Amino acid sequence: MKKLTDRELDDLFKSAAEGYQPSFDSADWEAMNHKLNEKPASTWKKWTPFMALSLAVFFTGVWVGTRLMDSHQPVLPKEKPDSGKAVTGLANQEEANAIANNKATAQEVPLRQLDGMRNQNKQLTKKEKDSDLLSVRMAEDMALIKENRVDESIVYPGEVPFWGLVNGQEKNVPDSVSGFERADVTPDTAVIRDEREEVVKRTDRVHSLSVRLLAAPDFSSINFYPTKEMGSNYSIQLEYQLHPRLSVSTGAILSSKKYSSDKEVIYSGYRANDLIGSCRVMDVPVQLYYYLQPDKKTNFFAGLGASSYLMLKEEYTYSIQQAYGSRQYTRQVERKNNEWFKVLNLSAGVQRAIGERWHLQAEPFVKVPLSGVGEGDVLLSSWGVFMGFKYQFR
Amino acid sequence: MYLLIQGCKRKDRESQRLLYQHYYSYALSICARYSTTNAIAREVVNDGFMKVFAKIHQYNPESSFKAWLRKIMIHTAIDQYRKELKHMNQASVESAHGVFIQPRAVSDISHEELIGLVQRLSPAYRAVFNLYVIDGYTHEEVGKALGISPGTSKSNLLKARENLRRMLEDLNRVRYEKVN
Repeated sequence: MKKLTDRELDDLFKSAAEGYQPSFDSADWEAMNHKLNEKPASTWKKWTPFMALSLAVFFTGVWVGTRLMDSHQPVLPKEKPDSGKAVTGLANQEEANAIANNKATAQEVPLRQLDGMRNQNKQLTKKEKDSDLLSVRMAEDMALIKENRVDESIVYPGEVPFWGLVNGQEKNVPDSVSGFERADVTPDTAVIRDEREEVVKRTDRVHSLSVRLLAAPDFSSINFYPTKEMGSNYSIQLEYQLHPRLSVSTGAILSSKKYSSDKEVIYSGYRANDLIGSCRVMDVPVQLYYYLQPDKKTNFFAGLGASSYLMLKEEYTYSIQQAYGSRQYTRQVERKNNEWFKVLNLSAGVQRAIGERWHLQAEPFVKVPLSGVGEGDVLLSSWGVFMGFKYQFR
Repeated sequence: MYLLIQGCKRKDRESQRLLYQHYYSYALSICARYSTTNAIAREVVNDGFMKVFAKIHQYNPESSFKAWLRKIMIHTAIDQYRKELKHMNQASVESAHGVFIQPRAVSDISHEELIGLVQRLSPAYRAVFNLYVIDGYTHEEVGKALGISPGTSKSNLLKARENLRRMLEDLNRVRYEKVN
């Protein structure tokens, strides 16, 4: 019996290190050869699949939206008297007919001819005020006329003819509308004084494009076990309105997911006693949104879609029970795994208009795994609440 | 050797293969002691050779190629250690009290088994033990390489030795039980 001294112990392992001669494994050279053949991929090449997918989804959405728009295009009235009727409120009927027949553009209309129209509007009755929507459109047209460099000084509020002559394009004028509330529009601001604040012009914003900037805390776990750590999500998404109530959205969410489990989990086919995971993920969602009240300032919506996870960095620490006890392993990989549409997205939220084009959004979400993801093939679920802004392009 | 290195400088694949094959065993014997598993060690070896081939122009022909390669392999293994350390909870170490083993049993343990024991150490202890005991670094150099103080290096070395003694004892006991 002898106690091994430090020197003896060191010598023992030194000799082992010197004497240890593992045999050559040709498979390792194959791996090395493959590695040498790999050219360092440039950043844009790494993102090519993601870009291609996003563009494909986006343009498909635009195409579908355009088709839907075409199929719902209103038929323009062909008879001149109808057109003339639609633009009642003009100073004289001849001008109205000429305009309705699209023989002149907004720029071509002698604006001085409109001078006489102002008094005409005094004849408007309460009946004629029944369409807030028309007032809104008129305001938009005023803005467009400005873009056509019409002299503001001689454009008066509520000038009806321009309603049917934006960019020289004839518009369908509802027969029911026969007049406008002059006081609602001013030439400089085109602001609508809408007494019923809930009725806004968002119904006109079909087929529009929006960009959403959102951030959310990220709570991730395996098999929905309670989690202690919190990650983060930063998102930029494009949303295309297919219908007043329906839109499609895609983009990128840079996500940091941290999770752990003290319970037994399946890691890469093994039963791990515990697991600590930390991942940076580029989440590419494709989502359909259904808006419940598209014509309201405060609008509730629900989302359904799927996410692809591009795993940028994965780090795992886990323990596996072995004959001599539990042994801990670590594993770290970078940009190795791309998981296409393996996560189901469910969300519900609310948005509040805070201006002509801006909206505030809050969107609680849950991401349900449809399959294992990442190096460990773990069933990773996530939840949180996205908060942020949406900017709607015209 | 000179021709092989010249071939590697020209990125000649056959020269690279021959150099790899020649030094593979040596490189793996280094990386295996720094890694948790042999599979990881082989990945480290290939990462190390990637550096060797990329930096072959920096090799000074007047010095030993083997020593240069060893240095690269150790640095690559330390890089791997840093990655591992991020999520590795350092194992608590019980004091080793009165560990006695049979000298004959120790001599029976193969080199591979002994390297396996080193692999079972926690990354921090393993790195210090390898650098100080086997690769001949001083505690100051170990501290610099691993980003720890020389005092921590000494402490980790002490704990690494204690753990190894305990593992040797366990190994000895298992063998004794098998025999009887």
